[in-house]
Amino acid sequence: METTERKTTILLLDDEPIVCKRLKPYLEKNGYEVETFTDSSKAMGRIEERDFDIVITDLKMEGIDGMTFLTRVKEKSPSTQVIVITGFATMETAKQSFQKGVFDFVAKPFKLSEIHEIVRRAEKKLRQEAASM
Amino acid sequence: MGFLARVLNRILGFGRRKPEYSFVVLFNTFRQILDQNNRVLELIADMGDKLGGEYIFDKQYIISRCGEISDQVYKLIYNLNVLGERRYLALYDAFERIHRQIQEELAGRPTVPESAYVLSLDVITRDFVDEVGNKAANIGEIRNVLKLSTPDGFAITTRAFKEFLEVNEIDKEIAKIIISWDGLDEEYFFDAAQRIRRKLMVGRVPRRIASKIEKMAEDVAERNGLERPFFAVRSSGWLEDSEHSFAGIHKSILNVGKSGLLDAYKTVVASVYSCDAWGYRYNKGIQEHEVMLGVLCQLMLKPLCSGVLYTLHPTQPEKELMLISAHWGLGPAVVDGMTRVDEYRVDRNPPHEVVSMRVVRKEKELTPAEEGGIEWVRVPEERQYESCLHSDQLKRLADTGMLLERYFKRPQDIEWAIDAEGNIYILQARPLAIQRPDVVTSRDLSGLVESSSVIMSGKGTVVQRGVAVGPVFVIDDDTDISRVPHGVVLVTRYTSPRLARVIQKVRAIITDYGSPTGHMATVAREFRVPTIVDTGIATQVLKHGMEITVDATQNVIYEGRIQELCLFELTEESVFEESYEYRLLRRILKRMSPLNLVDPQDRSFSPENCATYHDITRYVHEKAVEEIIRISETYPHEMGSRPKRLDLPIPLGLMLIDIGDGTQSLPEDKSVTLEQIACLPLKALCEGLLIPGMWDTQPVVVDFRSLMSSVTRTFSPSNAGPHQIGRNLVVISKNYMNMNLRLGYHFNIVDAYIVDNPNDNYAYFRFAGGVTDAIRRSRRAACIAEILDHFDFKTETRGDLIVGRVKKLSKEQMGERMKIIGALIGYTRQLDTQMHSDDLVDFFVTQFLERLGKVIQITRKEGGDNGNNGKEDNNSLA
Repeated sequence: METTERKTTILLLDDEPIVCKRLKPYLEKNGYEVETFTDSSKAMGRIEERDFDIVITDLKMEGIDGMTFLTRVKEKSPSTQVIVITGFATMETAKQSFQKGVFDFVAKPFKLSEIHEIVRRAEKKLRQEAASM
Repeated sequence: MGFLARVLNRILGFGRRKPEYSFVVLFNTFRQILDQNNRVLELIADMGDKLGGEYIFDKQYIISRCGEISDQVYKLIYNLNVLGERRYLALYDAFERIHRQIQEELAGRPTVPESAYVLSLDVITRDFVDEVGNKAANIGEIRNVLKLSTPDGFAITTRAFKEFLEVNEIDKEIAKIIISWDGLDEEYFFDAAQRIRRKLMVGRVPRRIASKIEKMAEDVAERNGLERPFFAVRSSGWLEDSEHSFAGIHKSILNVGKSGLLDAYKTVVASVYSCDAWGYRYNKGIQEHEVMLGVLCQLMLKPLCSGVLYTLHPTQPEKELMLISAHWGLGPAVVDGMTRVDEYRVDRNPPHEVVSMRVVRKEKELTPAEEGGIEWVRVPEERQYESCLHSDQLKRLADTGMLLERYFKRPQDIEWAIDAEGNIYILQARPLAIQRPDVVTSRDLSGLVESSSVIMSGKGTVVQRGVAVGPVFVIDDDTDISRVPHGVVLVTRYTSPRLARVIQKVRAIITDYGSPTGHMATVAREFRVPTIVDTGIATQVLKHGMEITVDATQNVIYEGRIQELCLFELTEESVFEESYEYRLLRRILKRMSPLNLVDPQDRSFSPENCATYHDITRYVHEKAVEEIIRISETYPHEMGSRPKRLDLPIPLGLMLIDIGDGTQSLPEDKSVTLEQIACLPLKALCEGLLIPGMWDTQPVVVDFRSLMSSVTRTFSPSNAGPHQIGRNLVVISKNYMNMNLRLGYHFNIVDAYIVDNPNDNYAYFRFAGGVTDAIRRSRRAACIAEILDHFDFKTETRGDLIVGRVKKLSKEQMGERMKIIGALIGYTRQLDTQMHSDDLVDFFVTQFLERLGKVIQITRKEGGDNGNNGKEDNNSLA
């Protein structure tokens, strides 16, 4: 079994506190290091301070919207894998976000196992990219 | 219109009147109603699924789903009024009423429910948290759902509180203080709080409230055979005993006589405005409009001893111990730390060994005084050094504690009492806040989990999330269910409703087969017992006595006990069921999902009695069928013929409307025979119905003798005789049929279109209802589903509802499917009355297939891509 010396880091941004409240412990239990934000400007500040392996973000938010946020994430750290959470209303926008290099998206409401699966795939891609460098 | 006018109108106007819309429009409206009806029920069921904890959803989801459902329900009503020429306008009122309630819930307005001023403890559950506050709602749940002993009593509601404040104009005073206080000036705050308390103490409890309190106190006294009842009066605020404990901040007053209740009430209310309480709220960020106080009045016990139980040692949670403290007499001795108490540490795991005990000398005990209030009395010498509890009592307390912890998904802080007869009473229970021990960081956890060996992973469906450890206890149908011990992981082949009886005792349930929407699943969710169903292999890989860890959040079963995983779960910051979104969804579903209108013959079957969206859809559906029959009777010329009776040798009560070449009868005929039917799907369906042994289902006693004996005894030959069959309707053309069939309490809808081109072909149908309990009805649904699966139908089952679809088969194959549907309608129409055991599902499937096989050979779809291939082994019995 491959031993990773450090945990995969995840930044989670959703302005609905319930999403953060429920996803954080779930992901932590699965061995990830998770930081959560419900305020996109604070999350924006945080990504200027450090890079995350994976960013999970909602699209529709007050203030800085998800698209602006993930654009900045990709600019600053192209290797970061971005997963977009979307409601029905933002499905179209979510599809557009692929052009920005988004890894995948998941529509609310989603199952915990669904997002875990996507995160695992994103991790795999991270490893592959790291290996090919 | 007078009687004569009506008759004249009938005679003269007949045939000349035209409906407002053409029949094509009306019939399309009718079909739309059916679609919308199904859509609404599916959406509601979809929301219900979200309560299980497997999904992440937010308020936006609830809002948009509510919008969608409301929209569909509104259209349903509109369409029925099109069909019924606006004779159902009253439904709009019903809609408005329900819609407004839902909107209020969504808006999160702290509207005080329009409840009574007092509610008996017997009716209170957690759903009443807004009406009576947390403490009373919790104790009601413990009493009425978990069925544990609690003192009898009642709650004075938040509505009473609000009106008490308003009548005395204290609400305005409070608002003023909040606006003018700068958050710093302590002296001002101190004075203000005191002023409020004084006003409350001299305030007048309105007569309308006071009289209800008196009356309820008398009722409680009477049903307990007490002449002079005494009560413990406790605060029960919103948010109290939740993640905010308010422990010890609000007042409780013990041993209050009937005449003292109002003063005690005021004292408790005033304690909410003590500086401590107010400060606590301020620091916790609790808004003053969230201060809604219920007051709990419980009959006073005269306990032998009382105490507190922590289900988990708060400072050393990793040690797996419970902490119990006890003292003779009443509880405050323990709770308020007035004196030294006996202390016990007990293993959290069954059989709950006592790990240590410390017995102290107890010279005095608190007892209820004769005339009210409490007093210290001397403990007789011989009991002073005696331990309050012995191991048997400790074990029973521990069992009870673990039950509460499992149910509320949090370590619990429980106040209990034991009476002279040794009965345990729960006085209150609240979550115990525990710091997550350092041992359980997620890093260690994922390491631990990785190094543990996995027995199975990702098998089956999680019905209720959660984590549990314990020994495996395998049961089969012969197992005496009462032998299931506390604290085990129950493993069984089938989900069975009979397990409902032991669900509270067990830590988790894993089954080989079963549906996540079956009855047992519902009960598991209700009691929040981690449950995984349909794993296929549980009974093969999990052996009796094996210690395992069930992680029903990740759907993994590990070998051995990973206690840390449990601890992680127990100390998780937020419990899903405590979240606002969960409560909101649950409250909203209460306005949507229950069905109150059941019997169309009953006088209460009216728009006025529609209390939920489900009621409305049920009403609309029933009336839509009536209307389409009425329309075809009233305007026969619009559609070429009036409805005809279909003559069959069985009492189906089926009226037939031919909208195009569906029959070969003459227009003036009152009835048609099977031979005259040209409509392919209907003809095939009727042939299926008439297959011998289908309509007249009689159980055959073969080697199932023992199993079946109970069946034959209770089976009643026909409870759906012709007189009970309402008017049923089928609309047909040459290739199309749409049938609404109510047989007794069973509802069947069949919609099919069959032509030469397979790509256009489809058949849809839907069975629901029954006269028996939900368990047997769901077994019937399981039976139907299994049969349908066998014949390439795609099926969905939800409780007793089953929907089957098949499409794009050849004309011949589709005809066969219609026969099967017909046969099924006949065969299963009373099957629920016979479904006494889960095993009978297989039995009846086999019997059906046998009888069918004697008459027709069914060609299966090539490749059988219905995804149910795994089930074929079962069916090959046929």
